[in-house]
Amino acid sequence: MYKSLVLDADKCTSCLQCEMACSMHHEGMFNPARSRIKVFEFEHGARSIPYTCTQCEEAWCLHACPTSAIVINHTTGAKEVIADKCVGCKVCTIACPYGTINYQAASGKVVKCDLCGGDPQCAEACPTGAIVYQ
Amino acid sequence: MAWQKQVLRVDLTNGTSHKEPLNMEWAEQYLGERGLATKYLWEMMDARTDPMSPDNVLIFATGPLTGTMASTSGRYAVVTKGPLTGAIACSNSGGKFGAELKYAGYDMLILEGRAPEPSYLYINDDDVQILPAGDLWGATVWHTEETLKKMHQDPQIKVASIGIAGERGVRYACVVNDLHRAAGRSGVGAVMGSKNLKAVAARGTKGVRVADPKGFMQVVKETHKLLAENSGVREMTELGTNAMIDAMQDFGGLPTRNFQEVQFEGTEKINPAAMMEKRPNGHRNLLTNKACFGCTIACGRIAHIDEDHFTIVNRKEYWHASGGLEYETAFAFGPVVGVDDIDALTFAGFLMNEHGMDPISFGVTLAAAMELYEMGVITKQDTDGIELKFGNPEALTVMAEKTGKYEGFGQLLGLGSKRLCEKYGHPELFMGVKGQEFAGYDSRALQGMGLGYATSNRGACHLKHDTFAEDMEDQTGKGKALPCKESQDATAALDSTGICLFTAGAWGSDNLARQVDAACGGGWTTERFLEMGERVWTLERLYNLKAGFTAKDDNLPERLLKTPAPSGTAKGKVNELDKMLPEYYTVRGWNQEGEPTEQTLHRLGL
Amino acid sequence: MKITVKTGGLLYEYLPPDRTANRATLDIAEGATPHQVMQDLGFPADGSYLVIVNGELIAPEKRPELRLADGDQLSINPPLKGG
Repeated sequence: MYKSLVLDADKCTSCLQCEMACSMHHEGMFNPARSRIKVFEFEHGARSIPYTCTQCEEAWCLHACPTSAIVINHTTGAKEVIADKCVGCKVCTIACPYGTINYQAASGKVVKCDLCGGDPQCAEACPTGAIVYQ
Repeated sequence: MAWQKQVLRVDLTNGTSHKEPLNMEWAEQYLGERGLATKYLWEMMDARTDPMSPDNVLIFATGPLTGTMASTSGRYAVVTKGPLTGAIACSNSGGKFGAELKYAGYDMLILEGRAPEPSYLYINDDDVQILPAGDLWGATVWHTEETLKKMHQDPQIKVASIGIAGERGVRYACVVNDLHRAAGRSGVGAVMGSKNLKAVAARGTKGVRVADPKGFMQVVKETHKLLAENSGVREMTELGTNAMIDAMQDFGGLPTRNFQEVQFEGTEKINPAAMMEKRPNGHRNLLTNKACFGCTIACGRIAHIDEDHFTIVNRKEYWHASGGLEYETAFAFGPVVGVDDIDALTFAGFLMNEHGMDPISFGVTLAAAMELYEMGVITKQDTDGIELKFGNPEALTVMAEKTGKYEGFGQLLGLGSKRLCEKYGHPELFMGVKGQEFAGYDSRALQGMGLGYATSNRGACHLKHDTFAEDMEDQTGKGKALPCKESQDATAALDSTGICLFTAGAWGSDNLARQVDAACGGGWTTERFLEMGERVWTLERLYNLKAGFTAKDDNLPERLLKTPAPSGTAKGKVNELDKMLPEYYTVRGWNQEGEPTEQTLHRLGL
Repeated sequence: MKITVKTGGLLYEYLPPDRTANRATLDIAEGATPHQVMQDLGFPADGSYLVIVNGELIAPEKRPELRLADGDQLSINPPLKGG
């Protein structure tokens, strides 16, 4: 069994530390607009819900990719995008039923959660235990 | 690094905007947010300008740590000349707007002039547009935020806006962002209204870089831990800032019925325990806590009102969650007006956010009006038929709404306590300094607080210094001047970073300086950081002196100086400002007229 | 002898299990001081508190000196700031 990111909306305060940690790890800067994990707020902040790729066993993004740019990391189970192979066609973004693989205009490629190679920075940064890697 | 090194300047009169480089020479001296905006204001406008004229300058400023992983990094400050006081106004806010503005690529937004028609500003990274406000003029803050997100088809837009109160010049109107976070004090929202500017809608995708990412992440990890392990921080997370109300009640520092008393019999009906209590009908006031951007404390409360309560029973539009009671709102709608109905308090809080008003100034102004009413100076004829007695929850909520919508007696309440009391011939009933109302601490019990109120550059304020520890150990004026001065400087430095004051219980200036140092590329020692704070404080003082303030304005109302506290630990005591103030001027390096000496100015490079 | 203790904030966590919300009645030794009572309840020694006995502020240096009397009311609040 691979470990997964367990997200608990009841514990989320919408501080966005996860989004900043994610963007720092992947982009070298604090930029929630480029985070692979996203927190959504509802009802004037009464509900805050963190949301990211579930690393589906049957990964539609992977199967849809015409250039085989999405591969499985067999250590973590993460479906990872090989940037060099991605041509930015966005077919995977249509295939994904959860909307968690996204096109990034700045790079012309798609990006998604890769579990940071087994040490997810969002879970590390979460101050309330709303994101746990287990 | 950490700074975006870019300022967005908007000339509302001519409908133009342009980007210019941030003055880095000033940034090295004033850092960001409060400090740097003060420097820009000082350089850009004559301090004698009428605050409501187009010549006033309105600045939204982030700090170098805004939008970083430093905890509580969502702050931005609104700096301008305040219409409540005529002094420099500096109100900061959390939520998510500040970080978004910075992510769009700007350290600062400078608004000049007055738009020919009601407008709003749309910022999407480099795309900046001044657009007609149309039907949004006259709309609430909540409606404005929702509408702008829909109009621009982007739910990620963050909005800072004013309500009708700001449009119509209520002297303590605020700028509200993210539904219930506000640059609350001194009437910065009224300045925005006077500029015909309804809202700033920002969307940013550029991110923020720090000079030394590895070093910064290491400091961040350590400083997060300090917060997580601090017992005072835990109180704020679990109970919210309203945890203070029980302490102030025991202490006898809880201003009650316009500061006639210092303890409130209804405290246990409006304290955190009351907020968390499950009632027989299953209703519980508090729903959850909520963080501002980047904040690992999450002191914010999200609450809802019992649907059967008289305030909203027929008003379904309020049957939802929103920002709940904090200490200052609990004080301003509770003890100081004598009301103990927690649903009425919560509703008044909703109205403040929805219409964009400072709860402290509103509550303390209403308290003065209630005292005038009980004295018979004003009657039901003045108050639109409302029984304006202390303790009447209906008086609280009806007047909150009337002021928010600028209707009837609410128009007079919108003047603020000082102008209202003067109008009715009782200036002695104004409870505040330099035209701004006191927060929820009575300075007969908290001596240093009195000194802080008297000398705060934006008028009475509890957030510009920190002598809580000294005040809770000794109730004389002795030994308060130095900690007051030092904490004012430290707070001014903190307010210039982009960080929230509520970290101060766990972080000293050294921990802030370390974060600034790693983010900004070195050279920021604790000493330099604190000197920067003193420079900021002193420049604010110079602004006020130029605006016409003198040492006479560093004062407290007679009620606190002559009428002894009737109960509590300070029973029989008055505030000893006359002993503290001369000492304060001395430790500041000012003369006894309250003016910085040449030597002090020289030392600070002013 | 018996005294009543009232705590603010989360300090009720230090009161004995038979507390009622944030209040408890304690049986203490004759002549005990606020400092001793707090120590016995397990209050961290390095914390700073607002301590009031019968409505009177007790400065930190007085806490190990003041002898409590039967029926005294001791109120302890956590170090809070701002808000």
